[in-house]
This record gives sequence, structure tokens and C-alpha cells, in this order.
Amino acid sequence: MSELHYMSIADAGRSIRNGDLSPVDFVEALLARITQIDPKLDAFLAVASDQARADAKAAEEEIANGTYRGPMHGIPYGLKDIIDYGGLKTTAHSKLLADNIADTDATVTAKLKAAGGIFMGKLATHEFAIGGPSFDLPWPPARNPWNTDRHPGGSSSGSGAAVAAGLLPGALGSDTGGSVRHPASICSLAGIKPTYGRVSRAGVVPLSFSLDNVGPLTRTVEDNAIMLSVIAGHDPRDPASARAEAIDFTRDLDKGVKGMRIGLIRHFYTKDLESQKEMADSVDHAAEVLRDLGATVEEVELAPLSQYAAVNRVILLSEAYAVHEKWLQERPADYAHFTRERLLPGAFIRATHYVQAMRHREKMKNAFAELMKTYDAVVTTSSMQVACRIDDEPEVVRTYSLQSRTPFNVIGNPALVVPSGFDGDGMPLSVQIAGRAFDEATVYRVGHAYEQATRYFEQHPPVD
Amino acid sequence: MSDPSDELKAEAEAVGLTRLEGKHWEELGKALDAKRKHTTGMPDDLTIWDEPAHVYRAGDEA
Repeated sequence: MSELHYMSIADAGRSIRNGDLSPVDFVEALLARITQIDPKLDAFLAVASDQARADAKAAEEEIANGTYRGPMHGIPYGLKDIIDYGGLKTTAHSKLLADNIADTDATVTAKLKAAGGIFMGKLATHEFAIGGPSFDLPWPPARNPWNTDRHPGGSSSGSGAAVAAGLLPGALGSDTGGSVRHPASICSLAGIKPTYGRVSRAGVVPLSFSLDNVGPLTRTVEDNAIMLSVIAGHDPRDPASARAEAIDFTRDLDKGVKGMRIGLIRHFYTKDLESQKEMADSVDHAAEVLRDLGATVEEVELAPLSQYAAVNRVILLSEAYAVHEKWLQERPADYAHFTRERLLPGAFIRATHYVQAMRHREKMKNAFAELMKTYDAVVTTSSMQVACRIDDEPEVVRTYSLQSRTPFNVIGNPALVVPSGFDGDGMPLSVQIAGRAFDEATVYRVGHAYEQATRYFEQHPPVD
Repeated sequence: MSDPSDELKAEAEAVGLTRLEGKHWEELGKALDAKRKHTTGMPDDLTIWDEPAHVYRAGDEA
């Protein structure tokens, strides 16, 4: 049990179920680790120690009395601080919401509670899930545990840092233009943007109504599938919620990829954008691994990445400005510099641009659906570069745009990031796997097969 | 930053940004430059029949 803090959700769940692991001991081990490690990372905005201890004790008693709720029962988790936990602050890492106390739980929070999860605290984010790593806010930005001088990715930065460093086995983030997959990519984690509408947004501070998704960050694909199984499902509180019912996304994990047809979108990282060589090589190597496992992998072509990025930007900035217009007019000085600079362009985008972007979005969605009549999944890069220095603002801005995550926000399809190795400086590399709408099960199946063949998840950051 | 230009002030006024101060003006200038970049780059292949991704529906039956 010396590595209790790096225990997976799946392993811990099995141990808790059969009585070999006490949820109380698990929570105490993680609270001790948070005390020891988080001052280096600033991943947490608030730690719910007393409540976590009480909930762990209650879970232990309930399981001992014969009521086992499932694989999240007794498992600690954290929430990006744009997700409501009733009675606690949701700050969105912003002065504007510094005293905002949530009346009720977000639907995802309520689902994790009902599954017996142990809430450990609120996690750092880029302000309102759009700023950058800001040093002019009441709380510092989270740091990358693989090198604390580096950016952990964002905007779900605290979620990525906390899970990678073994402070939590899993956390929720949100993904509007890649904000689950970015920290997953550069902190060596599994992170999914589910199909739009798969997971409720109710009780989550909005950024861009038609692009926002909630998704888990974990150290393994199996853990990710466990968390998504808990939080997915139709929710009448969310007008965009799909009627697709939740399923057990772990069900097909071990079926492998033999006989699958997988498309490799190489032009994203060889022609549309220039990728760091080690990153590109790791994705090409992932294709080889999947071939060796029995899949047919063929190069496929979509629209240029720049077109997806343009459509994503116009929709995101227009919708985000609609959310923030009143505050920007009345309290502009209360935003971080980074956030104002990201939001202000939305003031000048015309309605016509927004409608045209929405029309292109429909065409892009249909083009991908057509491609996926032939393929079970596609593979490509997520980030083109490893994490940069956190205090180098121009480099943060430059490297954030060097990515191929936005296509899957635009079309709404599920996209999973999985670790694909390390560069010469020991910084994480990643590969992205996307699939048909509402077919997260196949995306997880491909990700799990690759992960089990390569086992990068067994390496941990030098943060102790 | 030196005092913002009249043109920049007018752009801000037009969208209700009347409380900007100091470095906000530089950020606004960058935002206007960024807007020009952000609104280019989309494909140019729409016909008049291409509907947007999200359309108004009067109700579930529509």
C-alpha cells in the first residue's frame, strides 16, 4: 500500500468492495499527500477535509453493512471549480464569483454523490475556463507536476495537476476547445471530451453553450470509463442533454482492436500545423502499435485544421461574450488580464459570422459522419508541443493554438487523449482517439488497447 | 499606454465598454486585431441551402 496515492479507481474499487481497503485510509492517505505536495502545485482552491473524512466513514459503514453502490463507492474525486457543489463556493477562479455559493449540486456532482464518491475539493482552472495561467487573480495558477516551471495545460489545470501527481485518482474538468484534453495531453493522463449532450452541463458555469462538455481526467482509460459511466445520462435540467441513456463504458474495454478499421489523420500534424517531432513520431508509433494489435490503420483526410479552428473560435468567442458582456461592461478590472484579452474579441464578431460558423459546423459534422461509415475510430495528435514555461505568456498563447482538439468540439464527437510517451526532457507526449457520436465505448476500447500495450500510465512525475 | 485614440474609444463606446482604463485599452486594441484574424479562415463553400447546426424548434413535435 506504499503507493496508495497512485492506486487506480478500478483497483481501489475492487479492494474497497472486498474489504481490503478502507475508504477512510484511502482518503487520509490522499489528504496527507495533498498537504505535502499541493503547495508545489496549487492544484486545489479548496480542500474539503472534514467532509471527505465524514463521507469516507459513512461509505465504509455502508459497504460493511452490505450496500455496495458500484466502482466509485468510497473513491475520492475533485471538481474543477466551475462545477457546483451545493453549499460550497464555485468561484470559476475569478474575483467576480469569489463569494458565489452554489445553492444546489450540479447534476454531475449529484451523480457522483449518488455513486458513493468522496468529494475532496475544488480545483484550479483558468479563469472562467478561458483565461490562461494568471498571476493577477486571488489564487495562483496550477503547475505541471512533471516540471513545476511548466504549464499544466488548461483550462482544467488543477484537475490535470492533481490527478497526475497522485493527489486524486480522478477529477472532472470541462472541455470547450480542448480544456480536458489539453491538461491530459501534457500531464500524461487519460482525458475525454464526451459526445456533446452525453453529460449534463446543469450547474456548470457556462463558457460557450453549444461547445461546453464535462469530462473526467484519470490516470488510466479504465478509470475514465468508470467515471463517465457515473456522470453520463439524460438530464432534463440541461436543454442540450441528449436522450441517450448511460451505459457501462467499461463493458467492451478488453475486446481489443483486432479487425477494427482506424483512420489516421496525419495531415493535422504534418501539413496543417508543424508538430514537435517527438510528438508526431509518437502518434505515428501509436498507429503502428494499433496495427500490431490487429487493426487496419489507413491515412484519412478531413478539412484543414485551420478551418475547424476558425469555426470553433467564432462560435466560442461569440457565445462566451454573450455570457460575459454585462460583467465586462461593468467590472472589466475584476478579470485577469489574460481573460479580458481572450474575451474582448467576442464584442466585435458580427452575427453573420456566428451564423456562418454554425452552418459550416453542420457541414463538418456531416463530413465526419460520412467518414465514420468506413472507420471505427480515428487517431491523431492532441497537442503539437509539450508543456511550455508557465510564466512565458507569449509561449503559452502560441503553444495553446498548436493543437488538433477543436475539430471534435465543433462536430461534437467523442475524443479521448491517452499518454504516448515522453520527450527528451521527460515531458509527456499524447495521442488523441476520436469516434462516432455517442460511441465513447469504441473510443475507450481503442485507447485501452493502446494503453495496455504501451503502459506509459505506470510512470509518475518527479514531484515527491 | 498613452491615451487611447478617439477611434478606439468610439469602438469601445459602441459596444458598451465604457469603464475601460489603463492597460485595458491596449487589450482592446489587440482584441480588434484578433477579431480580424478570428473571422477569417472559415471555408467559402456555403450555398443558400446550408442550414446552421442549431435551428429553432417550436417544440418536440416540430
